[in-house]
Amino acid sequence: MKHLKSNFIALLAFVLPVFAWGQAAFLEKPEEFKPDKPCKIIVNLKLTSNEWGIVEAANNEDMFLWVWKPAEHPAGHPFANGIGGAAWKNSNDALKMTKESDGVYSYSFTPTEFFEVEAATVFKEDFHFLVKPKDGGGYGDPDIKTEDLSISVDPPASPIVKVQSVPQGKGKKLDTIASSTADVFSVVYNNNVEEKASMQEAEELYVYIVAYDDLGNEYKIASSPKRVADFPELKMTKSNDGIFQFSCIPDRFISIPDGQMLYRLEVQIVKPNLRTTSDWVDGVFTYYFNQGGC
Amino acid sequence: MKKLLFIASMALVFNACEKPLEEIYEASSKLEGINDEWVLAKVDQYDPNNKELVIDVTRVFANDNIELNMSSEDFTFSYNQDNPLYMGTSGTWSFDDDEAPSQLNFAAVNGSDTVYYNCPLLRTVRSIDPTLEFSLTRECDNGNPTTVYHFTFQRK
Repeated sequence: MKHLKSNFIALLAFVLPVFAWGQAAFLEKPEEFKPDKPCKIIVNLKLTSNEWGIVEAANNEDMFLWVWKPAEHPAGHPFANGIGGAAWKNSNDALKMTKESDGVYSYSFTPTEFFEVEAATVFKEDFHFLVKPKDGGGYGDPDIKTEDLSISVDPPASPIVKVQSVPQGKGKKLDTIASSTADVFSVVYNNNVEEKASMQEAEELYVYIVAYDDLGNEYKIASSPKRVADFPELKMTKSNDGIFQFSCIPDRFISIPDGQMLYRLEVQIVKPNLRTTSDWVDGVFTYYFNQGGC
Repeated sequence: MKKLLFIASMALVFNACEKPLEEIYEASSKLEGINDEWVLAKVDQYDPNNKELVIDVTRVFANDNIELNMSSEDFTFSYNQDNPLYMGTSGTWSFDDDEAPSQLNFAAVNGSDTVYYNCPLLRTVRSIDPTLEFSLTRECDNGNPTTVYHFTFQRK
């Protein structure tokens, strides 16, 4: 077993660098990439195909970026790829790359500013470019360039949230509401991501609320989840895209004696005329109010 | 040739008719535009930490019939009820710039206390504009923003 383990580690040691260093073009810090923030493109010419002699050219010449996606600037633009009538033979000095080490070149820019596009366009189109010397040949001369290179960029995956509050909860359980109970508090339920089959494509939903004051006293509007339909004010509004919302100002919605403060709300999302557990969204959603003291 | 002469003469005619824009469109006074009685029509809300989730909470205020009187004569404001929108009941107001305002500054008077609320305008408010739209950021005691409301009022 020990032998197996050491073999596995040896294999990892061999394979990992291939993945880490095997790309000809990559971003310096891909995990931090944001289209509206500066980023650095790095190209290792030695890992390109070198079909058009770029590695040898780099021994004697400066290297330039030639980029067409997410956008290509027209002739005359300060960041157009080339200058003049034979642009391929005269790269724009503004796109000269920085030599990081032998065969490794970089170019830094802020994508949304450089390409003059929205962040969404950057994510959609990715970066498509090549590297060439000032004179890329052509017009009867052999081309000098890399093959077409690309770097893929994707927006950060946003977590799919089934139930959330506005204002959003803080803390590990996202259950601490920093705003005052005099502010509007909402529970938003995304039925589109409901996994419970009996609750999918729900048409009408209510909230069943149990509130507690700072002394632990309990307050209800409907006496039980089965009675919510008797109280229209507990009905959630539904938008066409399957989002249900319940909003209230807790101080006005729940009548609490003077001197006491609303401390906690427990919310269940249920169908009207609930009969079994298949008629509610799994989970009791609890929110603690700290009365705006944050 | 005739055609050319016609085009040239028309160009001269149009050129002679050209007037500076400012003579055609007088800058509409925002002070005049805001001077009115307003009825709350819509409220949107979002958490400043999650600006993508903007929700319509008009329903919460729908039965309150909240009205706001803005006077550009004495620069006072007053609601028709007690502190309906977290910014006091009455007081004085000003624009940050009377010519091109981007913010409404409210000074709500509560007894001997005056509380200030700086509310960005969400659109211009000329006499021809049907709505008054501004936002209010609610903060907790340490100044951290907790929730943002976008209020839309219509002329009464």
